[in-house]
Amino acid sequence: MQSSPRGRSGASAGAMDERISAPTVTPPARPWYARLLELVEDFRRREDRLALALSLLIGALVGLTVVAFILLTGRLAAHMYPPGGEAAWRRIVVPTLGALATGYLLYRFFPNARGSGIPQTRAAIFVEDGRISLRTVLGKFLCCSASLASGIALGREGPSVQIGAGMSSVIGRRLGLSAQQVRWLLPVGASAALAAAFNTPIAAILFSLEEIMGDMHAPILGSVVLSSTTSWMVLHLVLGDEPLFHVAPYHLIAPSELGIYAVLGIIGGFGSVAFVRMLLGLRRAFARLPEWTVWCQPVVGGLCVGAFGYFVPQVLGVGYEQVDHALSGDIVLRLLVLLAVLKIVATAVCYASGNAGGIFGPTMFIGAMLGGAVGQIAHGLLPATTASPGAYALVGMGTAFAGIIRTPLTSVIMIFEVTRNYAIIVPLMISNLLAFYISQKFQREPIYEALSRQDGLHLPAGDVRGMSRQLRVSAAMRPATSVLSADLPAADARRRVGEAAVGSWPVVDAGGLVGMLRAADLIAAVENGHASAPIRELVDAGEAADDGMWYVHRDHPLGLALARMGAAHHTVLPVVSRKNARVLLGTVTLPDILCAYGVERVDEVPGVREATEANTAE
Amino acid sequence: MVDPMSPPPPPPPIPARAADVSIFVATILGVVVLIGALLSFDLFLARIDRRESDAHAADEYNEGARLLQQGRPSDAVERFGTAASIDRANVSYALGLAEAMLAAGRTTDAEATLRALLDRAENDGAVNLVMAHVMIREGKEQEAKAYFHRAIFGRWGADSLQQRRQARFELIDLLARRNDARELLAELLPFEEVSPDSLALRRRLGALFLRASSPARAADMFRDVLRRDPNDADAYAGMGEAALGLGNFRTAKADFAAAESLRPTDTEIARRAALSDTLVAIDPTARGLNAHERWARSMALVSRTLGALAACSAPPSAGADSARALLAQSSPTPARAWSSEKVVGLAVDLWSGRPPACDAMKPDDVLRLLQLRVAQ
Repeated sequence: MQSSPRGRSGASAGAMDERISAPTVTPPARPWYARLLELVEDFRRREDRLALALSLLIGALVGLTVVAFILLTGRLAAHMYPPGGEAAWRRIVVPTLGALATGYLLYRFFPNARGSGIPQTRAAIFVEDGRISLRTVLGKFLCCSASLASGIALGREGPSVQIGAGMSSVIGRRLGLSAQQVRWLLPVGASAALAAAFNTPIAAILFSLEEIMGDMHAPILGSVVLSSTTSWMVLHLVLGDEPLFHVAPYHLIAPSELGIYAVLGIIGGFGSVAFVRMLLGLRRAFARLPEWTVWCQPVVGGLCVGAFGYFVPQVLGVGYEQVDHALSGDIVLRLLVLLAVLKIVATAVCYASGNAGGIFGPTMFIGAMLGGAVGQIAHGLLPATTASPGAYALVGMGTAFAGIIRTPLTSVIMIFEVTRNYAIIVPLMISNLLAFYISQKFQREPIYEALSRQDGLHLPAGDVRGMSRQLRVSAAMRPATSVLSADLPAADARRRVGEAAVGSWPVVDAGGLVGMLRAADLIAAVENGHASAPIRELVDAGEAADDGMWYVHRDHPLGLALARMGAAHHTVLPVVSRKNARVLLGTVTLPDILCAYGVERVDEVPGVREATEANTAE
Repeated sequence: MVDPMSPPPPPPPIPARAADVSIFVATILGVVVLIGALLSFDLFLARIDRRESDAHAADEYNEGARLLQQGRPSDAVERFGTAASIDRANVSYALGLAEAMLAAGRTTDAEATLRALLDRAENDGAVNLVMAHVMIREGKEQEAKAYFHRAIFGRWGADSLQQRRQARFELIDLLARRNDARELLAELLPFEEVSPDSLALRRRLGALFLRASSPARAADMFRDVLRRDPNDADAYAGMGEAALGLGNFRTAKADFAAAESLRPTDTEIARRAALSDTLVAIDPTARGLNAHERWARSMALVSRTLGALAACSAPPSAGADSARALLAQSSPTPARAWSSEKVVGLAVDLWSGRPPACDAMKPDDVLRLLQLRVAQ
């Protein structure tokens, strides 16, 4: 830059000149990609914007994927059972071959795509930091599509949930989101999937919160609503406004009808218990078979449903056409009862033998048949004071859902959403709550939790997940440094325990945690002459059993730890992994809990100093 | 100092996070592309699916229509039901199902199907017409009339004029069966203004106007027919009936004679011609009668009326006593206190005061037509 040519003299002029002639430094123009980077970076930092955009994208993507899943399954089924080719032999051969083929694929390539998909989604959220692999998503899509098309008596909703959650997981991880953010994306994908698979967007939202997250106030509520709505819109864009079920207008004919709905609730409750127990029992039996049989176990389900289908073709597949007939009152009583029984057995065998598919759809089927049967009997006996059997079939669907899946709120809203009729709410609530109560009474553990537990996963129960904003065990746990070997003689253990004020000690062996041993029990055993006995024998028999009441997980609320301490009479509880309850992650003590609540300082709690010192010494 | 002529400083190096951001952007773009691809794929599959299911539904519907034509309504119900469940938006399929149900005697099911259909197509003429048929089958004729009206004024596809006319004629037939002359006339009147071209239809309308007690309009219809086909025996017979209704017995006689000459083997025309002959012979109001003849015919009318009243066990009345007293005089000439007109008036009073039971017994045509004539 050159000086100004204007003539000025003196210092001021010189200064002025200098000022004028000072170069005007224009910052170099940033290249477009740098600006773009900045914009993207800014977008990534704004979590609210990111959540909004991802909810929309995931809703659309998952909705379209589930629609493709439904359409492809339909097309495959049309090829497997071509019109005019409904020969009876086909109904045995196709499901058997379908189960064989998908069984091998599941065993060889997609082991995580087996079963429903809902327990797996919950496991991904609570155990795997939201991780579901792309391979599992693809496997679930292909195997379930082939399996359901071949006539396996399972449903499409559970697999859709896992596919939706899996897609969210893959996207979230590709975007470099944190583990917590990825975990929160899973229910977003799950609700989008369910909204498209079952055509009930509100029920999908509730199901994601009530069953999958176990927390109706989860902070992801907005995202879940947005994705569910987007997915539902996509479904209607592609498939039109045709509802999944066609229901006649519902009317409560007389108040006395409520009594019949109560009977339906009781029957539905016991039917649910029978189904869940049969499924869990069969699954346990299949799990005891040799490992090499895993790939061919699904054939048992295929053969079973094929044999039923040979005589009663309506039992094959998802069966929503039959549900529609039951809702219209077009199925005779004998067939309704037969279909309910056969579907319970077929679904239990198909699921337990390891076929790919869910129990959400079959639950609806079983409920519709049971409800339709109750309705036909009631309408036959009291035609003037009862609604048509279709109304009972409708309420039966909700009843079975409440009894088997154990999400009473979702079940009520779902049926309300199908009918869009307020009049159905009261009978539905009566029936659902009775079924829910009976199911809870006779089958303590809800089905998805029981399935997870059979797989060795200890997922948080709904009541525990609801306490998400409370202080958790992780806030008070300490490393498990002081443990006793299970093979240690009692006398040696007595010496190691010494005078420490710690009341209970974890006992471990090569496989991990065995149980907890009270110091008082140890001392008493030594004094009673069992000094040489290994302390394994002193561990409570109840603790050796896997009832889950003597340990806690890191995400358990501290209040639950206190309650379990009281129940198990231990002042120390082991903190174990949800994947495997024998993996000891740490311990939590009563003083630690009091400290976490701010009641005491650790060093002021009697015995804590000694315990800490003992731990340090270890 | 920075030399302005010097080249600008190099841009800042791309930060390390750029790689992350690129993946981020690529992932978002990938998802958007995937959405587009999936949407196309889904729409393609949905179109194939819809085409196949539409074809399947159409096959089922055609098979159902064939079975219905063959008189196998129960089998047709199955086929129509399948078609309707595949394509629930198709009104024709559900309508076919309802018609088959009606033919199979399942009126309650047919009604339920039609009610569901009316919820989404309440102005559909065909649906309302079939519902009217169901109502007739269930004996609910009043409701049937309402559905006929909705069918007449409802929405029809192609050939709507013909369909509406057909629906109106069905309603007219119902009203004619019910002998509801007033409503029948109300339904017929639109045809008077927009007269159909078909001669057969005009003949039918003429007959219906006669049933609606509107002989003048009936005569107009038949006259139109005769204007275009002067050798139409039925039109002459219709003209004769209209003339009878109007009390023009001589005209009626001439019309029936014309009809008889055109179709001499028709016994019904011959019977009506004989009736008109009789009426001409005994009409006490005919022109050109001398006093004796008029008196005799008037007395005969009273006697015939009393006989008809006795046949239907009409209760005793002062009029009947007077008539009997008058007949007892058996005078061949008018009595002092009675003129022919008064005697005819007495006959009219007796007839108009008859109990409803007498109408139920259907009096002979001669007396009915004579009374109609003298009452004018």
